[in-house]
Amino acid sequence: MRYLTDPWLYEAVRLSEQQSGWVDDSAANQQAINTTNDGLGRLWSRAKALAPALALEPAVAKVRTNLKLSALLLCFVALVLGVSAGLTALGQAQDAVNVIWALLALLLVPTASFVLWAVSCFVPQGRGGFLGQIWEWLANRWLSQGKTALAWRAWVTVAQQRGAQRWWLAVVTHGIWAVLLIGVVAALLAAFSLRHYTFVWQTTWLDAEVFVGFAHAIGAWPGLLGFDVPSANTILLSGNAAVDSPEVRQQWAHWLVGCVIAWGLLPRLIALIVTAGLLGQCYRSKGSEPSDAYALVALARMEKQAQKPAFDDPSGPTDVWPQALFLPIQEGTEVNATVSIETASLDDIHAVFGGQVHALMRIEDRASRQQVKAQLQAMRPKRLLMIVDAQHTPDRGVFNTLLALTPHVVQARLFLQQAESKRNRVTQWQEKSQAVGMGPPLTDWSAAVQWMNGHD
Amino acid sequence: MTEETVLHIAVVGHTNTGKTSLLRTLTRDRTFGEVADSAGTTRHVQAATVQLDGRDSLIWYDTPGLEDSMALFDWIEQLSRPGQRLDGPERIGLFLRDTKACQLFEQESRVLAQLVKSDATMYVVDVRDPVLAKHRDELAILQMCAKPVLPILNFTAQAPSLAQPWIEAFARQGIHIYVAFDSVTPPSDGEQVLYDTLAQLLGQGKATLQALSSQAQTARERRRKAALSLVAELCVTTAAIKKNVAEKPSQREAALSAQRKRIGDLESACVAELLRLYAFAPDDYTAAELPVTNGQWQADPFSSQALKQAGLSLGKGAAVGAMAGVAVDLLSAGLTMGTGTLIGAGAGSIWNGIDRWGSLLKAQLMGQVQWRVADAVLKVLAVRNLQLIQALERRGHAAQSPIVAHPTLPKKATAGAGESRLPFDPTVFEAVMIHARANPEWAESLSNDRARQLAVQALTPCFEASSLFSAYCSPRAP
Repeated sequence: MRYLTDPWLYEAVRLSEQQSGWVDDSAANQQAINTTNDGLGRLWSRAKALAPALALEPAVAKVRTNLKLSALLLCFVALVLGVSAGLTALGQAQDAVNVIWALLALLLVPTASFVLWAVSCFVPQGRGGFLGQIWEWLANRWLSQGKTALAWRAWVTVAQQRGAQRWWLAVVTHGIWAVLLIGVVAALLAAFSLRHYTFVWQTTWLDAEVFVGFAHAIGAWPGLLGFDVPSANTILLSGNAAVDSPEVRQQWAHWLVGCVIAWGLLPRLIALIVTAGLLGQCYRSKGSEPSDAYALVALARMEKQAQKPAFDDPSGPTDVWPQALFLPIQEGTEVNATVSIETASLDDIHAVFGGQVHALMRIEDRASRQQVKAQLQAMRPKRLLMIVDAQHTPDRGVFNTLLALTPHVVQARLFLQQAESKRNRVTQWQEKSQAVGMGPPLTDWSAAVQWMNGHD
Repeated sequence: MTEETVLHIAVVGHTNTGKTSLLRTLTRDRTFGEVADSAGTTRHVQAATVQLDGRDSLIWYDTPGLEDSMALFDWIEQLSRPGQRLDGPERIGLFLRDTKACQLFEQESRVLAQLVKSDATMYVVDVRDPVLAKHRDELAILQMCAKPVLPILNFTAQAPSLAQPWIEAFARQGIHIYVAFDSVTPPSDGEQVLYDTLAQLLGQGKATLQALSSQAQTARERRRKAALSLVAELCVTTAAIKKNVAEKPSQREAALSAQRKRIGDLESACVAELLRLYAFAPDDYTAAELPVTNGQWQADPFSSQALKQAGLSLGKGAAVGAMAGVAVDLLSAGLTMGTGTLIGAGAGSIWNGIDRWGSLLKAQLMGQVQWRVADAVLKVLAVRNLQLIQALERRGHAAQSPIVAHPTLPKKATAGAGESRLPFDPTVFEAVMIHARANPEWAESLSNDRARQLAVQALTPCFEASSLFSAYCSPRAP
């Protein structure tokens, strides 16, 4: 029963969380992560840590007690029944005991139910026996409120998952029958010790040999265990009228007790031990990691928590952007120029401005940047329109390039060439150009033409 | 696992190419880092650990974007004095020791410092951008660090894709292996492809990466199975719902809306579980796009629109019935639909059958009608939630726009007009539903009946074989 409580608690927590939502589990997760790397182990220790907060531990304890109590109650009832059955079978001391009749009365029902149970073992859907089911029914009755109901369902679920349910019921069934038969044996022993009985067998039309054969056949197995079997002569003498000899009486009493023990009690005890062993087997292995949605989510939560967030250093200064430090030159030539950074071609520019402006080459790399810079230094234009692609993300590199050009012109203005796609980042360009002190960019070709013609 | 080493992989790239987005999708964590359409959103190196069997085995490093690679390249170039012949790593080392450079190139120096500490680099590009000189400079700088570089083509699923110029640019730097990985709609096996490709590049981490790859695959399969069984459970629970209602129209209305609400609650609980399973949050939906607000389905499965959205062309009668709100089978006087249910019940156990007859008789004697959820509704529930799973599987954790939960179903060329186009085998589905209807106790919240579990287990493979999950494979990098 090594793995009884852990899976039980886990199942109870699972049902509880599935019913009433996930609980705050960060402390429990941390505990689970620290305990083990194994998924199933983490799930169990998470549940164990959560159980107190969900008030499931007392519920589990209550279920445990109730199960034991109901089993004890049934055992007590069985004991009383057994004793009374034993006494009833012997009848009043003044009448001779009909041994065959008494034996049948004591063994017929237990043996029939035992055989039924044994047959049911070969049926895949078989349950664990009638008395076990009564016990389960009692538990269902008792444990139907709130958290206890949850803990009880969890217990059943685990038993089902582990294929242990029928063995539980079998253990309870055999246990109760064993107690009942112990009651019978106890009653027989007490009655034989304290009262005077004589024994007979009776028949109307059967041959006496049948009884000799029956008593010997049925007594052979108890005989092996050391119980007396009446001799053929004794049996023949006991027919229809009792023989009141101490030896004969003792032999019959031994035979009767031996039969009840060997055919009734012992098989039950053996079955009890075997089923208890099988039951233990069900809880001996740890089991495989569950892969239902709940378990996967819980494991993912723990894994996420195990990934401690890590940073290299605190964030650096956010304002590492270049600033338009140099004032533009005061006096330039009357030339107006345009330059395109990684976007519009010369043809595009000519198409808009005709021959009125001086279109410088497109800046694409280091070399072209140097060349344009040198051209501007020589040209000293009055107005420079710097055309950028509004789809690009405005980054520090572009602004470094732009700000390297502005010291060589009187006035410079940014123009955002927009594509038809939705990926234009006009607002970002506006913000960044404001941030570096460049003024708002132009976004419209006609405005750009106007600006180049001297209108501000 | 023979190796105990932890692999360190730096994710670098030009600013605003979706490095953090990529890591969100890879780590299935939609809260990782900060994401915005702007330069310099990520301002420090952030680590994300991947565990293998509960042990840290790989750490991704999200780095700030490179912004001024041209100036950086110039700076590094001029570091070697005349006559000195320094190789790449030596120059990078000089740069990182240069305090002035590290102030000037604050972000870039963080990136390079992380890069030289890492085992490999993933260079993320936005394929919608053209290849520019600054990108070539970035690649050249990365090459100086002498670490394996794996380019990631991000946003490949979105137009316009300029993948080819990028592939050529990589080839010019001697990089011929790359991975196409859209972080918004990632390939379903994207994580695996990534690990497999990294394993080709990284000899010493091969075993770990292969283990991570198979872990990713197992996780994906388990996730889908768990999700499908949630939907199967929803269908079984809903089918099991039974209600005796008085025949008075007023009472009937109230009972009907109560049942609708109950089914709505069941479904929204299932949706919440699905979202949680795929590590998304309820706010991955917006009210405008989806029928979920405040946890309630606005478009309930009984509306004609819901039927249409689910792409179901059910028989006219069923559709009309569902539209009119007669969504529940009427087990009224003539036992119209009872036969199927009762046969199912009888097959299960004789007692159940008698029980069923008994409650039916009792209902009739008391002038009641027995309500059950209609086939059409169950089918809508199934299809709608399977489509949601499909959408969730295709969704990256970087995705910002809400889920489109109702993509149109692929049209079968063979399907005739009006023929049902259920994306799964209807015979198994209907058989399980009949079985579920015969067991009203399965609708209880604490029901863990063994037979109920078996019914759910029987339905899950039927969903698993659904055409929704067979058609979608990732386009692998050539």
